[in-house]
Amino acid sequence: MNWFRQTFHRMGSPPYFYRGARKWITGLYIVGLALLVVGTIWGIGFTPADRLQGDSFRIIYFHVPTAHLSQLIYIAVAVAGFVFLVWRMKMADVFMVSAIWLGAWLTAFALFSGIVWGIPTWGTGWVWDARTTSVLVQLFLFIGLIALRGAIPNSQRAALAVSVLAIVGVLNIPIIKYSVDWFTTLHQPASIQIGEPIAIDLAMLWPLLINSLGLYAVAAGVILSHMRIHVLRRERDSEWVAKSLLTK
Amino acid sequence: MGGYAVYVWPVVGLAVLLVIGVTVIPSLLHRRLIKEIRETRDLAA
Repeated sequence: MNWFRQTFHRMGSPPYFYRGARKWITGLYIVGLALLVVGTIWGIGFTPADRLQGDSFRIIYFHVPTAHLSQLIYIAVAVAGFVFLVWRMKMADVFMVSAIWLGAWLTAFALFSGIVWGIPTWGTGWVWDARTTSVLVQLFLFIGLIALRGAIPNSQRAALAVSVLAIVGVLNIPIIKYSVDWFTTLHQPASIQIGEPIAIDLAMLWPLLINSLGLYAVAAGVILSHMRIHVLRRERDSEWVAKSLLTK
Repeated sequence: MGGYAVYVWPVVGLAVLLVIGVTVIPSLLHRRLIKEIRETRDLAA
């Protein structure tokens, strides 16, 4: 517990974060990209084709990890918003600014890959069912967070507004998750649920897990990388930045 | 039903572009920012 408290407080210090994050970014990129290469080659070249969907099912290896991760990022942004509202921690704001862009791109990609997958399997790229619509709402929420951040010149006020919207918008996450159970949707229910038997063959499941882990690692590296840029931009006139750049 | 060429490759292609974009762009921005700070604060490299 002490270790966690110490790390939490240290991560709130911009110089500590800036210096410490560099090694993490390199490690996360190497591990993440390696996993993505393995998962993608395995998924595209070595898993059997689906009995009904043929090869188009392989879109699962890109659609599912991006869709899951975009929701996870939204939850993380809302948690950071809560941390900012309660403790006014600068790094929570830096995290929000850095993560919302990636969340928006991942949500857009999840929608795009869903549309491409829908054409051969549903006979249409888009339906206004509960799952697709709630994910579209998530994209609008991310875009709204980006716009709100840019529209308010005072960074403290902008961070407060973004925090509130992120926390309110997190209500959409259970709607996305349970939309396929609560409503009649064209989108299939989840194949993997805690406490339920897995409804996907292991030969198809492994590349999915590997790609998911790889994408999580790369995304963590990307967010840390953006956070370092924001920290440097905010602290550009401070003494530690001068020292840090002089020693390189 | 669906084949690689029509459905899978466009998704793979865009995924690769997305991964390259989100990993390379921050690195370039970071370098540019360091250069800019060094110049404005007159810090020798």
